[in-house]
Amino acid sequence: MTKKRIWVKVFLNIFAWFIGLIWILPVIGILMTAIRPFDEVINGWWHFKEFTPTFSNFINALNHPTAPLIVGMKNSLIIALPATILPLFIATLAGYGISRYHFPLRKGLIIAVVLTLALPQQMIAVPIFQMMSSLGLVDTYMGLILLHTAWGIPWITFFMRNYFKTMPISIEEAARIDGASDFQIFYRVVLPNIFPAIASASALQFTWVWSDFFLALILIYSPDKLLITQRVPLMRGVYHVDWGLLSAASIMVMIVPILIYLLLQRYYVKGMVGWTIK
Amino acid sequence: MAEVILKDVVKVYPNGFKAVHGANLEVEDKEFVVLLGPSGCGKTTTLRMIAGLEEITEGTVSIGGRVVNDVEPKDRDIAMVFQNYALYPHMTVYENMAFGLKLRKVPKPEIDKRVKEAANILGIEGLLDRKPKQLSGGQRQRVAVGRAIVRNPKVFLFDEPLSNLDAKLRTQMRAELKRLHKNLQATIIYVTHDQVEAMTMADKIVIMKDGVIQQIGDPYSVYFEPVNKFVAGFIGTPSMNFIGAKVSKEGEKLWIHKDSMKLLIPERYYERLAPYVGKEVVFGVRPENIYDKMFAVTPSEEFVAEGKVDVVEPLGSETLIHATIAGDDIVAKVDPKTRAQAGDTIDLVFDMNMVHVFDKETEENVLMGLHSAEEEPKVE
Repeated sequence: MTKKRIWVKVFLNIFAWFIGLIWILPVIGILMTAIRPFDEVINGWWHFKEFTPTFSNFINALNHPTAPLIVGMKNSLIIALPATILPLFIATLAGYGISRYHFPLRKGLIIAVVLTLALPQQMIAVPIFQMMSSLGLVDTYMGLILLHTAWGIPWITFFMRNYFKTMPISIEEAARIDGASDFQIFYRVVLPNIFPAIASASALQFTWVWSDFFLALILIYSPDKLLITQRVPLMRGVYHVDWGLLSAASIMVMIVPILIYLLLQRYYVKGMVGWTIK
Repeated sequence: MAEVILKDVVKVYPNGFKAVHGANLEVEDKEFVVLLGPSGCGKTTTLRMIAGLEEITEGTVSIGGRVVNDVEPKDRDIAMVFQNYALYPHMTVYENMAFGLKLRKVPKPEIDKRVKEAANILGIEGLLDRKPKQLSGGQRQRVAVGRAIVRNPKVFLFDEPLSNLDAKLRTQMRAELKRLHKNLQATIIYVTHDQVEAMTMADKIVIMKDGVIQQIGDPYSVYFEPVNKFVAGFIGTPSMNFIGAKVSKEGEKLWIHKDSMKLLIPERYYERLAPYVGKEVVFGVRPENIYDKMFAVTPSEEFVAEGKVDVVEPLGSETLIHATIAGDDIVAKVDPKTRAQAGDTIDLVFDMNMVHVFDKETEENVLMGLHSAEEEPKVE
């Protein structure tokens, strides 16, 4: 290796570490604020003269008098689990159909799917509220689950279609000759082999639903029904902001999707083939 | 009885591309038929129509006397081996082979018996618990064949099954498939672009080009009696040499003539070649029918042409000489003891009893039917 190339390498390394540091700094900050008592971080978390690790912020957030996070966590799970499973089930079948069967307007359907991906959520806020209101689904979990399902189906359909396109079709043909019906082919031959795609789509959809604030804000307002993301801002007092409490609450909101990613990490990268467009 | 009959079968794809133009073919019971042709010739499409994976636009396909155009693949009593093996990745070898039987609700002990029998025939008993990922290419190939065998179908369809294997394994599998055919007594339709596979395995070869069947015949007849220039060039390695030349007449004798090359035509061809006197034809001769004059028995000057050697390729058992004769590049398969070297001029003897003449316009074989396979190739 020449001297010049070594320097380039050193420089690139420093640069990469610098970017990494900028990225990780707020995370460290929030963690440091969360695990220390209020008077230790009042002047900023980067003062380390005293350091008394404590879980009290987490416990206080979970049992907050006006917005207990533990209830929010339960509510969010009630929304996020069905709002992940339902669209995944529908969109996987839809994606398979679009990638394997020829039918009139197939291309138009794909274009429609892609177009809906470009739709900003803010645009549908008013019509969705009106629609849910006339259906009597405002302030119900059912309404929000349906909304997330509808919002998730297009991108998961597209994602799954792209994934199916990368799979050799001859395996399915072999199954057809072996005597399998269309549904047997799907459930016994295709489905067992698309776990990576299902895992990554689930992780993304779950994260999306769990972290959603906007759609929840439109539809859910009863205090006892509020989701985890809606509860964090309520923890800010009028005269007093307990940064430790807020940080602990934020970490608890974030930790669930992170755990999901860690759990599915093995498949996640493999499944990302779904984003390649073919 | 499991004969397969294609009658005027046409395949037109939705985009308008006509892949197969009216194919007519009779595959007899227990026959090993190879569909051979370059890529895009419609051979795989034809096979897929027999399998039921591709709709038949026109014409009929019948298997065992029953028209199957509207019969589902699973009810056609066929099994297919795919080029990329198409094993189910999530199943073990055993499950892969048992899958079709399970779907057909064959009783478990029967499945077990049949899978073990097939595994035994193919020498894969030790691999039954493995997943396809843990197998080598050759082993996967065997499993794919095994999956077809257990079903005990009327007709086996093979779609270029050996093209993903390395050369050595391919030679070995070729012999194994041939042996298998003998043992199973099954009808086999086999698609390949490799003419060596076709020649070595087939009872009957079907040569296709651009969706049209060119010739149907046993390996000897397609080799010795190609109907046209395409078949002549496609069968045989190295492929047949083609030289654009003229048929000329001097006195009573006919000659193939081009610049310095002038070769005497045997009398038995005169009748066929009479209409071509004075006209351009394509003169075809296989490399093995050209000899180094030094090693030819009683060479006659009337069969000799002078060539300029470009490249010499010794193969051990024989030597290939790439030479230029009257401006055309030719290949000759000569005795390995030849002393020819690049740059030399060499006298090459043509076995005129084995040559072909093709019409320049239609490319049809003018001498069709005059070279029977039994005839001894000899040098005059």
